[in-house]
Amino acid sequence: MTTLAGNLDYVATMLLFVIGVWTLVSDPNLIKKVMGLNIMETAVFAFIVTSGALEPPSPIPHALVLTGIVVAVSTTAVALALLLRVHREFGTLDLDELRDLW
Amino acid sequence: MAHWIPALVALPIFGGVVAPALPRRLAHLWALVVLVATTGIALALSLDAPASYAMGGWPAPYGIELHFDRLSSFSVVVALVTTLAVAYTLHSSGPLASREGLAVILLGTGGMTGFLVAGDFFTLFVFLEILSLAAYGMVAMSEERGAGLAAFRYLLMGASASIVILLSVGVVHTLTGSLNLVDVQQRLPDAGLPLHLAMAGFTAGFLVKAAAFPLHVWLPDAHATAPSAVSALLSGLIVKMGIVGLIRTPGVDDLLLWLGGASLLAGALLALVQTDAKRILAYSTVANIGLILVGLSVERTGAMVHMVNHAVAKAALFLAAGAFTHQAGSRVLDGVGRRMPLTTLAFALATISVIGVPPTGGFTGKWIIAVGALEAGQPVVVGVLLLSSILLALCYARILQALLFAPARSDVDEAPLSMLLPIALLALLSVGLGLVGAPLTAFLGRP
Repeated sequence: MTTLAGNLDYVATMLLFVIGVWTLVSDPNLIKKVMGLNIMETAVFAFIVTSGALEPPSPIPHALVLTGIVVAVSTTAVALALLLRVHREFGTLDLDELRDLW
Repeated sequence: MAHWIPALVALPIFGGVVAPALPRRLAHLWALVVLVATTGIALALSLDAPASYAMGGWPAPYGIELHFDRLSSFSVVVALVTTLAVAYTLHSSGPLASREGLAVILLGTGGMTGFLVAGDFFTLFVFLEILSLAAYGMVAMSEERGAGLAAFRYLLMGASASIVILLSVGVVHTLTGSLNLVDVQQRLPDAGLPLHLAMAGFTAGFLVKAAAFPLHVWLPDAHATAPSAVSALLSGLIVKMGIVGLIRTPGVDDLLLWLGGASLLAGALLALVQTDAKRILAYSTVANIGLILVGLSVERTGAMVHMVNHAVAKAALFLAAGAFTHQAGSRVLDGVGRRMPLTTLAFALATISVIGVPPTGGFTGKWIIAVGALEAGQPVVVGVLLLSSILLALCYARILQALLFAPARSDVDEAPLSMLLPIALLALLSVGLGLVGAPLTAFLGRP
């Protein structure tokens, strides 16, 4: 099953991943960057869960994804805490303004 | 003996979880006791290596297996350096010396020891994340302006790398149905392109974690703003975890040679134009990681030996730099060394080790890697290595010149004992490891 149409679900998750990377890299707002990271993470989880539906169906991807979700939530929490600090110190969360301030 | 392997991981994590609940005076003592005990367990396990422990008695591939092999004996260095870094913060008043700061350090140590004994990709990923999150938090535990932003940038790059690693784990599982490290390593020679692409994904992710050129950009800012004890842990231990990840997920050895050479050059050249001592040390780390990458592709034992020696020496350098800054009250170090002779002596000893002068520890790894490169038919890399060493020696000489050959300041005193002892111990260790270079290489060279 190596056709594009046959692997459409995997392609969709990787498209989502690219959208996440684009958001992370191009948007100057730091919170948007954290959102981009979250989109990337969700895309990878979708990819892994989709792979669990192969023959024979395997429960291991589900465990991997659950762990990944916990890690993603913790990372987002740390990221937002750091952003609170950045906002307190610099007054802005825009990368263009931060470049001038730092 | 093998049943101590989970203790090696569980003890620092348990220590970190308990630390915020203790009274403030007790937290430091608790952290030191936990870390010394971890060092002891790691030492005992190293003498008994290799060993395996199946969690819950479930054998691989159904269960999670922890392996303690020669590479895992790096956990001795991890625990020892962390102990000395925590001792260094004994009389510090910053956010790192608080109960929460010590908790983060202990959790990071647990993450590192767990990463070193992981036997499958799943465990590897989990502990990688534990140590990474602790690292992002540690960098921010500073009163410096911009520490939060530097930590955030580290987080963005590190988390992106982690998610690429997770994607690679998913792809490996899809292709092979197995998550066991040894199993996948054995399948690699006969595998097609998709599995090699997954290994390339691992390499990309771990190169970011290891701060190799050109993915090193988070490192200098993190070092410039983080507290000195954190810098010691970051450059000494945490970037080495990226290297450990590369060793555990082999794939693209030829690429590592070129990237290593690029890191060697870039680190040395970028260090030349720096004016802040900690940034010079940060770029020196990038160069040394480049050396270790070259070692991974030509002579793996040399890479592991240099990991150990560089960890000890770089930790000594960062702690000493922190002591200078602490006593001087500012980043300007002119003449400070004349009033702090013992600290400067330790700094100079560690510098000699990092540059790679025999018979110090830094020489052992460099020599093995250089000889390995010549034997593998890559003399250009040896030329790059020599050039990089000379340029970095120049940078370190600049620091020592500022410390010693500027007019002495009268308001600076020698560092307090709580700072001086860890620095001195690490500096002496960096020289001592060179004296036992041959037994160390033999120990790490065995599987």
